Amino acid sequence: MRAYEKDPELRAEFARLQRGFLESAISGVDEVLQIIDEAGEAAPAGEAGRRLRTIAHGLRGAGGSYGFDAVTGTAGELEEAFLAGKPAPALRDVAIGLGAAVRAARSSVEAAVEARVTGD
Amino acid sequence: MDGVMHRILIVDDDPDLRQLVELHLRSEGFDVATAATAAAAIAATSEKPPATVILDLMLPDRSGKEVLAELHERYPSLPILILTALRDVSDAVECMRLGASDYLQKPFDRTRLVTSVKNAVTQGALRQRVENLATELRRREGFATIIGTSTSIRSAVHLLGRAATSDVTVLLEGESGTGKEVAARAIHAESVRHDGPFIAVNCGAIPEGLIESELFGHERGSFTGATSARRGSFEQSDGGTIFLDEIGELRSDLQVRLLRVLQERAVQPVGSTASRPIDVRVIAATNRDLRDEVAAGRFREDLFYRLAVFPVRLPALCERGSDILLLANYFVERYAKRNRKSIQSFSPEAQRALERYRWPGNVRELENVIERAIILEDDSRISLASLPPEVSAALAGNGIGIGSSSSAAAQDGTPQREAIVPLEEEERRIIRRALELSNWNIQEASRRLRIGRATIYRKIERYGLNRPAHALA
Repeated sequence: MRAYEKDPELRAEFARLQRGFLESAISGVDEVLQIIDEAGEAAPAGEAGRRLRTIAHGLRGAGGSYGFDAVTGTAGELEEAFLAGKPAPALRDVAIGLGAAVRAARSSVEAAVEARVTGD
Repeated sequence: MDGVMHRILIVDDDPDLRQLVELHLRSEGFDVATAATAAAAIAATSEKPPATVILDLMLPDRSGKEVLAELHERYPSLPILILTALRDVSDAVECMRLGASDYLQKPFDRTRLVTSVKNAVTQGALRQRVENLATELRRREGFATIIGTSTSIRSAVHLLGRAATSDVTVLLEGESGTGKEVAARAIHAESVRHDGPFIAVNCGAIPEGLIESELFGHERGSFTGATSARRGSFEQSDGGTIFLDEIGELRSDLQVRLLRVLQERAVQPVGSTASRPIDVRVIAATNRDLRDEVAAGRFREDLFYRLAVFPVRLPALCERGSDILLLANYFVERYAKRNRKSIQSFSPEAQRALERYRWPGNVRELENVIERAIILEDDSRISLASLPPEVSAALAGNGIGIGSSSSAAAQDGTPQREAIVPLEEEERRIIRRALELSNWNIQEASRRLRIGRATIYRKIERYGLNRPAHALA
């Protein structure tokens, strides 16, 4: 357990930030999927492409920092695939994997909260 | 840490990341500010410089590397940590080259982040301390070392200050003991060359056979005894300042060589056929009137004009009025402390004697007199009895007499180099001083010197003394 997690206030604040991050990650993945859909068969380009990279880059950096290494891993794959110029269908597969990683992270957080509430 | 709440600026456009870093740092007792853009980061830093900046490289308005370079240039002692999800090693290398103090990758480990921030804060505080000490050191070597409030010294300091802002060649003129080397060091300390060397060469004190090698260096085997090559003072002061004291003593053949160095900005060591470029600021000093030396054919006119681009005359102590007591008190404080004595002032008689004495050895003589008096004095005030006879005698004199140069001898009885000067030179100095004090009124000067007017006219002609423009006709 991280040292500051012994402090209930800090622990609550961390949990709040974690949930906030996962919410913004879910919206981010939705936005990425929309960009990919709009690109059709081509690689997303221009402003849409830059936005996709920004979201993937942000999740790559923040995911593991919040303790969600799988989010960082798949977000990193998405960023690298975009930078490699992969077409939208290939990006879509990676983005779906990213969405799954985010949802799994949210489930684990909810399960942990549930366990604390029920004392399991 | 040191108990101080250090302020950390987090620059990242990702709010989730910013908030997490903020939480970690607040939990460690840091005060945190945040910025989402490069513009906001620069504004926040200039408004209140933080102890450390945590900087992301991908910002919406500018590259993080540009921000890093700008902040590092503006605030060299401010530690900047890079926190980025970029994986390229070349980014890390470039950021360190641009001045980053650490490079962390996202996702980050909390412990690693906190440790890095703490190290950065400590490093920044140390850098700031070193910077403050360097500034203080420069202040101590700069114009603040020249003590005095008289108009004459303040005018001289004003000119020295102007000289320090440029690379101009300066000629410091003034009697022995007026502080020419102190002034030269102050110019150097306050100039852009202050990080470079300051090399002082006394052209009158180096044996004749060595002066050429001392100034210009020599190659191995260039003369008997030259067992290895040696860099001369000019090369040693490359990037800094060379101070050529008693320049009027330089042999005529070396005057030619010096002129060539000044013209070509290159030096040719003895025994070498090649010239080496040098980047040196030259400050020369003399206690002679070089114009007279030029007139007498003893000093090259072309070299004089090369050196006297920016002449500054340092006033004799007797021209500095209330500075005498100011300096005397300064030396009392210094030497009382050094000798562990509680002397703080002068008796009224001693004070009057100090004020009336002519101080031919100037500030150096005053310093010697005070140091001696501190050692001799048993009371809490320096009395007349602790002053040398020639100084205490000034109390009984008319206050105008020309001081004895015997006082320029060291107080331990060891004669100093300037204590014995050719009689002709001393006579010339005495007559010039009397003329200056009489505002070139020949009748008054001859009366004070107790010599005839015809004699004084003859001496003026003999010594090539010129009435200054400001003296009354």
